[in-house]
Amino acid sequence: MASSDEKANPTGIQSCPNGSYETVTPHPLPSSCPPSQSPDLPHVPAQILINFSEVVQLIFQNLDGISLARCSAVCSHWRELIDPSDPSAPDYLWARQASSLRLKSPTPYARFHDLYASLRDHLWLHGKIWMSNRSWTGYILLSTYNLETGAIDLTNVVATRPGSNDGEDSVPWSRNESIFVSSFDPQVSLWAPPLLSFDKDTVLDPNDNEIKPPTRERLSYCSLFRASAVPPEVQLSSKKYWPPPHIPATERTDDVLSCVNGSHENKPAHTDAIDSVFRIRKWVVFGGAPVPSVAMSRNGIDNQVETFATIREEHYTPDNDHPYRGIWVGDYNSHGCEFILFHQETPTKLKAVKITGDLNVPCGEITFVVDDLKAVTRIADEREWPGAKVISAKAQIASHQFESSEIIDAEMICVGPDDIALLWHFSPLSSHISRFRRVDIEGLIWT
Amino acid sequence: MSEIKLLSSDQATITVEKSVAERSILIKNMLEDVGEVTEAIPIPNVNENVLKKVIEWCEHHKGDPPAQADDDSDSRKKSSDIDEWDQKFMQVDQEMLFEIILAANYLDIKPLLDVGCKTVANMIKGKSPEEIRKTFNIQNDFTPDEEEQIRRENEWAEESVPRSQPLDIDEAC
Repeated sequence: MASSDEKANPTGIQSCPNGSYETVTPHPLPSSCPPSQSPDLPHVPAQILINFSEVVQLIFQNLDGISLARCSAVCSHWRELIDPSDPSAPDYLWARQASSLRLKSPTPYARFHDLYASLRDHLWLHGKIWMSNRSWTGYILLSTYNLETGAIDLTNVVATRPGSNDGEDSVPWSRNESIFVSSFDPQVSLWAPPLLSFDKDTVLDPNDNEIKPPTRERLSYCSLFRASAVPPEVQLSSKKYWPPPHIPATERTDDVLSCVNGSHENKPAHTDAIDSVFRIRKWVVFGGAPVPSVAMSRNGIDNQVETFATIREEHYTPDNDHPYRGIWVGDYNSHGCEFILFHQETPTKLKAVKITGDLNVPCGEITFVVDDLKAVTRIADEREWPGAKVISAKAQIASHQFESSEIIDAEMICVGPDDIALLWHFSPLSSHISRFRRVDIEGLIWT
Repeated sequence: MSEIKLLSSDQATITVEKSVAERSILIKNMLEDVGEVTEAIPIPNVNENVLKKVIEWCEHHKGDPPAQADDDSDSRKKSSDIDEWDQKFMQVDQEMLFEIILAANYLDIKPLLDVGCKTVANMIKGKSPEEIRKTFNIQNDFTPDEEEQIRRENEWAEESVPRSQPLDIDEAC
């Protein structure tokens, strides 16, 4: 502890780092905001908390948003650091609170303080890909920040194949002319308008714990509610969980559950919910009255509740050892484009899992696997992809509604880092080539 | 193992292993500039008690990997992630805590500065503005009009359920 001599000399405290404190605020502070002790015995902590803006800012950087708001109400010096009175001065401490949005400017909000105050309850949602459990096909939502409205949007992602009709641009494969090769250049885009938008007007309804967008005149509605994890040790083999087992995840929730409209059952509070899943309820209202909610679900009785799970960035971001890892779009013929997670668990093992599926092999199921990516069976010399590595694979096919699924031989042709072809050997006499292209999910999220 | 001497603001000489003292970027750069030194290096802003405490921290952390340059900019670290030894180390009276922070700032020991700032942040969390003022002995210098304006701006933060009280460090001293 400082000796009393030392303490009695405030200059001993203030002369510290190269005289460089007070770089941020122009306030002549000790006089405008004095610590409330007698001047001959300065209170060291208060002196530092008032005089050393650099240190105080470091402290503030470690606070949550609510504590930061409260600090702004402590004294004028702290307020100046957190909410600068000059409107052109950036409120960078608030920008940090919303740093997950990676924004350079708070537009359309006046300041980052306003942006954070409006979106803080929704930030957990942002910047992720969400996989729906809707039967068979599933679909994908992306949560993005809308630069025009200042809301976090949940929007459908769709992949389309320009030139649409099958076989239009198919040409016989030079290696085996009974097999046709199509070009495949899918367009992946957000399907506006968003399914849901979240901003300060999106409120948590205390009656049923569902987060609802502002009421507008329309027919169809949806609301979002949180879900909690089912720990692995209490998961039952007879029940299903979401995301499905082939999708890598640390937390899973119940796949389907009975969830009565207007009840709190199965709707955990924010604090008990996990950030990697949520549920959406959809309903329609006729005649403008909110009372007669009408069903849209499969069985036509309950409101429809869908569960969504995120696929974490680390599971779709490739690196040197896992170059195939990623989210891809596959050409599934008459089923159209399907989104596939290339889950490269190890440098040698690849599991391609359907994020969206079809009536034969539904979402969540494996479409093909490669057990050893190093086991190259040949180097292609055909003109379509000269020099491409060809690796032996196993693919999964099934009848209607995933009945009698079976594993068949296949070959993965590594055309490029973002482009592969899969040769399916249905039978000795029947083979087919389909193409896969990598999707730039990051590009969709951040633009 | 080479050792150097440090001279505190109250003229105490402390001998310390060179590699430990070099956790301080200020001392490290100084030693690089002057090369071999036999006389004590003056640390004019830090007294003996605080300097000893800082050296204790540096000794415990001498094996740590060097800090990444500004690695906290993107992934905001939670202040709860103070390791157990550091938590105990920071259980000192408020005055000493702030002296350590100042010394870490002056001596340029970023990881120690971070731990200190996180400790203070934990003392702030969960408190109302008035409780924060009381804890650190800060005077409310707002006019009633300003107070009203702040209350309106921060309404969003007050309607929330208060978060659970975080770890509180020996503010009674």
